[in-house]
Amino acid sequence: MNKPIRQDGDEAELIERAKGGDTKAFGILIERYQRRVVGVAMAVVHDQEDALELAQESFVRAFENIGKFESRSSFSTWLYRIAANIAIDFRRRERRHPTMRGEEAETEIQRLPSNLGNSFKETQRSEMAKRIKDALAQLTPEHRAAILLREVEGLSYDEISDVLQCPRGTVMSRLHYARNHLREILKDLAED
Amino acid sequence: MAPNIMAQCDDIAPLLGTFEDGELPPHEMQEVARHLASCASCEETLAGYSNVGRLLRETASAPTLDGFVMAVQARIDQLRPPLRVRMGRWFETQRGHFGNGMAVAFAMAAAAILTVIITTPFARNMVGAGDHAAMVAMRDARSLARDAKSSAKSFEATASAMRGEPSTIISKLESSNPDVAVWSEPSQDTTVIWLSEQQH
Repeated sequence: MNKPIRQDGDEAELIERAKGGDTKAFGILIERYQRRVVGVAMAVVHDQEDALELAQESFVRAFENIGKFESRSSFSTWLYRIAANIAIDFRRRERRHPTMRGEEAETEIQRLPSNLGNSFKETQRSEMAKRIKDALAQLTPEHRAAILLREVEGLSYDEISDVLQCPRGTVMSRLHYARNHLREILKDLAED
Repeated sequence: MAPNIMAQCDDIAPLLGTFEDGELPPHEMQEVARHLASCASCEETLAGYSNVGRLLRETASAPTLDGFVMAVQARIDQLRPPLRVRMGRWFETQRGHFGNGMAVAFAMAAAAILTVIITTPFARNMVGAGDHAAMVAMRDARSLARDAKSSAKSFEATASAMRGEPSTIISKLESSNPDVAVWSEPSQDTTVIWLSEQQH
């Protein structure tokens, strides 16, 4: 019989057990990486609802293919690459067949003061969030993904290069462009 | 970039973000740091980059992940596991029910069944080949027997002609081997042994 699994169990052991079909061990891996995987998907598609759906799909795909994962490489990077590929494919499909979204309505709802705290600070924060969202929307998906993976998800240049499947030099130039662009658009906010 | 020459802003500007991220090689990190110490403009740009990063992190909306793991696991449970995993689980169950010895016995039985399944077509071919050889041997034997009979008749006719007798009485055919024929003629006190040509 299998040993009981611990939440803080060794990653290599969890992967081996998941390879043997142990869904509980894989559940612990999901728990560990869910936020980052959602973040990677968010960086590419820039929509929360889609990102959650794509992140789920990424984990299912990862479980189906975990037998192919070689322990020499990093499990997290392998996982993020799956998420990025799924999100990039989704974005390509969306570009070809755009669908109507409730994004604008959602933004409006976010801008409304909540019942709990109708504070000036909260309204100001919503304003700022909208400004940043609009600024990010002006970037190409490639530049947006690079800057969000770096600044929000904290991925290294090598990880970004691996996840977005582009050379490290391209990561550097995308980040440089995105930073300059955002700094220019958000000048007043950035100087606060 | 030569370390002793003070770099110009144009050279430094593309490196500022990478400097902020700590991803430059050590000698370039030092060069940018040296430049920043004496260039207010580049320092301002760098501060702008830092603020952009801070704003992005502050306003990044982390989606609620309640029930995320369960939702993924529910989808995974609907998947049909690969054969390797299914067999592993089955053996695990058997081991649980019958102990290790039975599991080994099951494994051996499964291996034996698999061996039989895999080798049956070859075995059939081999058996078929054996049947074929037997049929050929039987046909050859019949053919030889026919030849022997026909040779015997011919011999009998020749002998009769030489003796001027209408026919020779063959009192006894003594061999059951189709390749050998033995005639005894007690009246003449003669025994003839005939061998087929294949025997020579």
